[in-house]
Amino acid sequence: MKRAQIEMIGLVFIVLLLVVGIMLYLRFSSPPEQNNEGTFQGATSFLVALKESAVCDASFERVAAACIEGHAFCDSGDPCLEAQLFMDEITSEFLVQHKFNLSIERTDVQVVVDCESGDQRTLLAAAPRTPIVLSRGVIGGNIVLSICR
Amino acid sequence: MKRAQFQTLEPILVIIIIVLLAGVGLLFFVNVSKTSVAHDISTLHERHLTAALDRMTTLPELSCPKSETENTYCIDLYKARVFATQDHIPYYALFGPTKITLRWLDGTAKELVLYDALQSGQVRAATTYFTIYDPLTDERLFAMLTVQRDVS
Amino acid sequence: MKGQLESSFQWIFVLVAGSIFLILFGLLARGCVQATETKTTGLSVSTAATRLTSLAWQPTLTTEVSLIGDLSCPAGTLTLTHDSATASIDAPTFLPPSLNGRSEIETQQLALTATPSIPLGNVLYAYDADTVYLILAQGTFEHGTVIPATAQDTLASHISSTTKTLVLLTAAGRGYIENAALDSIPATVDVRGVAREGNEMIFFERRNGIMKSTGAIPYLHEALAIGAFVSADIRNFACARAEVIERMRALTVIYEQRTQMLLDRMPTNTCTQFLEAAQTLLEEMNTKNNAAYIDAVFAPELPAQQSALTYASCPVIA
Repeated sequence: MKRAQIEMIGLVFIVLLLVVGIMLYLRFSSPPEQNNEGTFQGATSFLVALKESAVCDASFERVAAACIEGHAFCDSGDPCLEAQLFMDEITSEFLVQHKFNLSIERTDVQVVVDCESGDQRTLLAAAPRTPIVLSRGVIGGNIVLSICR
Repeated sequence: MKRAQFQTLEPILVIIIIVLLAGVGLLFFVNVSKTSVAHDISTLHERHLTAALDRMTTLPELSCPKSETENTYCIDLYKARVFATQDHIPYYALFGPTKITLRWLDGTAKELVLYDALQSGQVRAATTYFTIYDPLTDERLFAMLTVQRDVS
Repeated sequence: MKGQLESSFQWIFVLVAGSIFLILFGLLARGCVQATETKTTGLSVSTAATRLTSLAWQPTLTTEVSLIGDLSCPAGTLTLTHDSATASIDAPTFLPPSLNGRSEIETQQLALTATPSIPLGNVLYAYDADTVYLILAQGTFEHGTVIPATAQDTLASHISSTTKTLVLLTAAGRGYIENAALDSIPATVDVRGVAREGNEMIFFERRNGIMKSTGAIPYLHEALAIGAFVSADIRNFACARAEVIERMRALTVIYEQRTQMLLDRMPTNTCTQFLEAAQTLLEEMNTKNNAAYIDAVFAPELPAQQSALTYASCPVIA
């Protein structure tokens, strides 16, 4: 009787090993995850390029600063609108393959594609930010690009 | 009789089961290694492509005037237009079997193939964003540089 | 008999099970080796990529250039680097010179310029930390006189029997063999160097007190001659220089066509006259032979146009 019980325990042990093995196999044979290093470098360079790009005969950073400070700027007199339009144009051409949230802090200027702020903490692949220097020389906020998985 | 036969076969069954377990274990190990290697190769290719992009923006054949490079590197739009028409053979040692495409926004989206030595096969691509400089308007335009490389 | 048969059956099963195990193990081991080989290939890609980030330009590996007699360029030995960790004293090259600037040479040592962006014109060269470079000049040397040829004590103090020394003599004297400065170096010290005599650059070496020329090459311009310091090997220097000139020409052609493109698209204004002058200069330059072309690149006219355009807030040449 005792021997039979030991043998049964042995069989159960073997079955458990097989189950664990199969689980490990399923876990590690999944396709490689998106390369985070490449995604982050791309996102950072995007922000740097965005800041320097020309909008209303000035740099985008200048327009964003005017939006934060609430100054009139550009022919339309509304720098926030100009910033929004430019961000819409850029993202629709150059970020089509990503899910992202691009925003200027302390303003309502934002472009979101399947990447709501509430879920970002667990779903982010990259979230670089670049500061906006205001006309008086202080940093007034950041442009943030959150790339979601 | 049956019990005796079973007892005779017992060590053989044990060996078979051990073999199966060892085989399954080795199978997992190889698959894990393969996945890890595939990931490493992906990272290495990405770095190779990023290096090609970096080289592009520092070439005197393409770079902006010195006064424009005080903050960040950029490509001169008209140099790029001329470079795209030049013979690319002297640059093969630098860029290899790649295709480098420039896209920028100037009212509408525009595209220019700067270099093309791509052979047929599987390709891997990397992208970087930067600005191109238009010397006539003295403006920086948002741009994207994509490098595709043969990996087969 | 029955027992023997049963025993035989047992061994057959053991053999079968063992064979299955061996085959399985062999297949899996093969899979492991293939995966490792693929990774090694990937690693070499990474190593190349890391090195390439420090390269500004690498001449084509299959270049065959006939220069003097049957001189031809070795395949795969010409590299350009300004990463001091990979500098090779035996295979240096340099970049084309700039429109607005000169490289600096520190006395007694040739330093690397370490800027990541290399403007047209920086003369870059690799140097070996274990080698002493001496530039001997009678009179002035454009980039600064280093050690006067008559200061024999000073010269001797910089030479040691255990240090590889490369010497450039710029004085057009009676011939390098009779140069007093070289005589001041102890005969026990082997010396390799380059001497400029008139319109020739003579590569020489002195081993065991015996002077020997290893070849001569036309002198084109001082800026391009500096690379000879570091190469001290006529074939490498000649091939590298030819590649550099080829690339300089490609660059100035781009500048010429770009300037023409700008002129075609811009309205006539104050910038037009400066750009047209620059366009004419570039056009003439690009039709000249190598020696005249190099002189034109280093002539003040083109930098003057560049400055004028910059001052007038016009689109510049480069």
